[in-house]
Amino acid sequence: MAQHAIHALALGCLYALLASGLAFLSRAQRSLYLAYGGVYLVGGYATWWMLRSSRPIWMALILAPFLCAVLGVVLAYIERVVRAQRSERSQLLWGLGVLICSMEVSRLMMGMYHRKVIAIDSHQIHYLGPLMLSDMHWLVFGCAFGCGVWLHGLLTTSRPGTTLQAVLDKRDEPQRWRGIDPGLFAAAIGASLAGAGGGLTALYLNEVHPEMGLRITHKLLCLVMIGGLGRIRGVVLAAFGLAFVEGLVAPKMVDMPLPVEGSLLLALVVVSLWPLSKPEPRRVHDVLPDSHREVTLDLT
Amino acid sequence: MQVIVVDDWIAIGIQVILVLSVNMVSGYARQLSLGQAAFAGIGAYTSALLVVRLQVSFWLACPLSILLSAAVGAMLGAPVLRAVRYYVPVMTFTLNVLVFHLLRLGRLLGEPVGLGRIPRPKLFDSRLSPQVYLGLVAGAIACCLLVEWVFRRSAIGKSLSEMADDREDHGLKPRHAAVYIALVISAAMAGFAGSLLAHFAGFISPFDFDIETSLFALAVAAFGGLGFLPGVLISVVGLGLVLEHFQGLMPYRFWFAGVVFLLASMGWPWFHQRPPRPTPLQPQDVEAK
Repeated sequence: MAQHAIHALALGCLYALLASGLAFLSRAQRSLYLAYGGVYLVGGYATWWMLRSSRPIWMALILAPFLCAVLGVVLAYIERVVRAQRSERSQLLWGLGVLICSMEVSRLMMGMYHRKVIAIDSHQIHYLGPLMLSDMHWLVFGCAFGCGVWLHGLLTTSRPGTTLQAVLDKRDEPQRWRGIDPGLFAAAIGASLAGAGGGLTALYLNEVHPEMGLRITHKLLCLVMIGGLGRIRGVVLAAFGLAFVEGLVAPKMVDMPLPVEGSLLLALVVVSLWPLSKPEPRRVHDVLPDSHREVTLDLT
Repeated sequence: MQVIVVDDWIAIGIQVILVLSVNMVSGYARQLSLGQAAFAGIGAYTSALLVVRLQVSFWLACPLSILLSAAVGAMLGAPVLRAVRYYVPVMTFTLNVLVFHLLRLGRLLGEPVGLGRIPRPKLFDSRLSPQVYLGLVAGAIACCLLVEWVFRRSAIGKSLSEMADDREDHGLKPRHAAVYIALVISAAMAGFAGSLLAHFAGFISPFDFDIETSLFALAVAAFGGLGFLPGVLISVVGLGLVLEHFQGLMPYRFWFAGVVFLLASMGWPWFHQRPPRPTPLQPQDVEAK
C-alpha cells in the first residue's frame, strides 16, 4: 500500500509538471496546445539519446528542456507566420498536425520499438522504514518540486514573470517587453516544462516510444479541462487526483471493468456540467515602473 | 474479381458514412471530433453482440446500435449545452481511448482479440449478396445525406452556418443547442457505419476503432475541406480508391494525416474559403451616408 502511494506520488509529480506546462502554454496561446505531446516526445528521446551516449543524467535533464524550449519557440513562431491562429479550430488542427508529424518522424528515425532508458548511476535503492525508494523517485520528486517552485516564483514574485502576465492579460494589445515577445517567452517556458516532463517520464518509466506523446495527451487535456483552462493550481490538484486513482485505486480494483480513462471521462463530464468553482472575477496584472498589483475588474 | 470490386466499394461506402459523421460535427459545428471511431465501435459491437449472442435480427440490431451510439453521444455531449470550450475534442479523444481499452482488455465483453462469425444480414430467409449489401450501404449514405441536408436547412442548422469566428463568440455559447444536435446526429451516423462494417467484415477487433482510425477519418474530411460536402465526398472516395489499389501506402496514412492537419490549419483547401461576413452598418455610418 505504502509502496503504491510512493508510486502515485511520483506519477502525480510528473502529471502536475506536464499539465502545468500545458495549462500555461494554453493560456499564452489562448487555445488548447495539442502540439504539447510532440514536444514532450522530443524531451523523452533527447534524454534517451544523452544516456545512450553515456552522458550523466543531470546533463540530459538540462539539455532536454533547453532543446524543447527552442522547439517551442520555433513552433510558436511558425504558427504565427503561417497564420494558423485565425480560429480555434485551425489552432487545434495545427497542434494535431505537429503532434502527428513528430510521432511519425520519431517512428522513422527510431523505429517502432520501445527503447529502454537505463540510467547506470540511478540504481541505488534507499530504504525509508518500510518504503523502498530508488534514486529515480527522489529525482522525480526533486525536479517536479523544483520546477513547480520556479514556475510559481517566476509568475508571482519576479519582475519578468509579473510583467509577462500583465502583457498576456492585454488580449487586444500585443506588446513587447524589453524587446522580448511575450508569446514566444511563454512558449519557451511551457515547452521547457514539457521537455523536463518528457525526460523525467522516460527515466522513471524506463522507456521511450513514438506513441508516448499521443498516449499522454488525452490525460493532460482532461487534466487541463478539469482543473480549469489556464489555472495552474486547479490543474496541479487534478493531476494529483488522477495519480491517486491510477496509482492507488486502480491496483485495488483490477477486476473492475473500468480503466483509468473511465474515471477521467466521468470527472470531465461532471466538472463540465457542474464546475467546482464559481467563475472567478477577471483579474489583470497591473505593472507600474515601481510596483505590481493584481487588479480585479468589476464586470457587472 | 467482381466480388472483390464490390467489396472495395462497400468498404469505401462505409468510410463515406464515417467521414460524413465527422464532417457534421467538425465541419458544420466547427468542433473537432478526435474520437469518432469510438461511436462507430459502440455501434459495431452492439450490433454484432445482439446478432451473435442474442440472435436478434440485423434489421432490429442495426437501429438499436444507432440509438445506443446516439444516446452515448447525447449523454457525454450534455456539457456542450453549457458552452464549455474545447469540450468536444477532449471528450471524444478520451472516449476513444476508453472504448479501445475497454474492448482491448476484454473485461467487459470477454473478447479481447475481437468478435468473429458475424453473419451478413438476411432478407426473406436468404443472406444478402455483396451486390445487395452494396445497395444497402448506398441507401445508408443517401439517408445520411438526407439527414444532413434537412439539418442544414432547418432553423437550428442555419444558425451554425451563421457562426463566424468561434473565438469571438466565446466558444459555443450562442449556438450551443445546434452544436449539441449536430454531435448527437454525428454519433448516430458513426454508429450506423460501425454496424454496417461489423456485418460486412464478419470480424471486428478493437484496432478497427482506435484513435488512429478517428484521426485518419478527420484527416480525410479535412483534405476535402471541413464543412464543404462535395470536397469531402470526392476526398473520401478518391482516397479510398487509392488505398484499396495501393495497399503499400497504408503505413504512410498517418504521415498524410499530419500533413493535412498542418495544411488545414493554414486554410486548406484554399478554394473553399468562407467569404467574410458583411459588418452591420453602425448608426453613425447611416448618418454619414
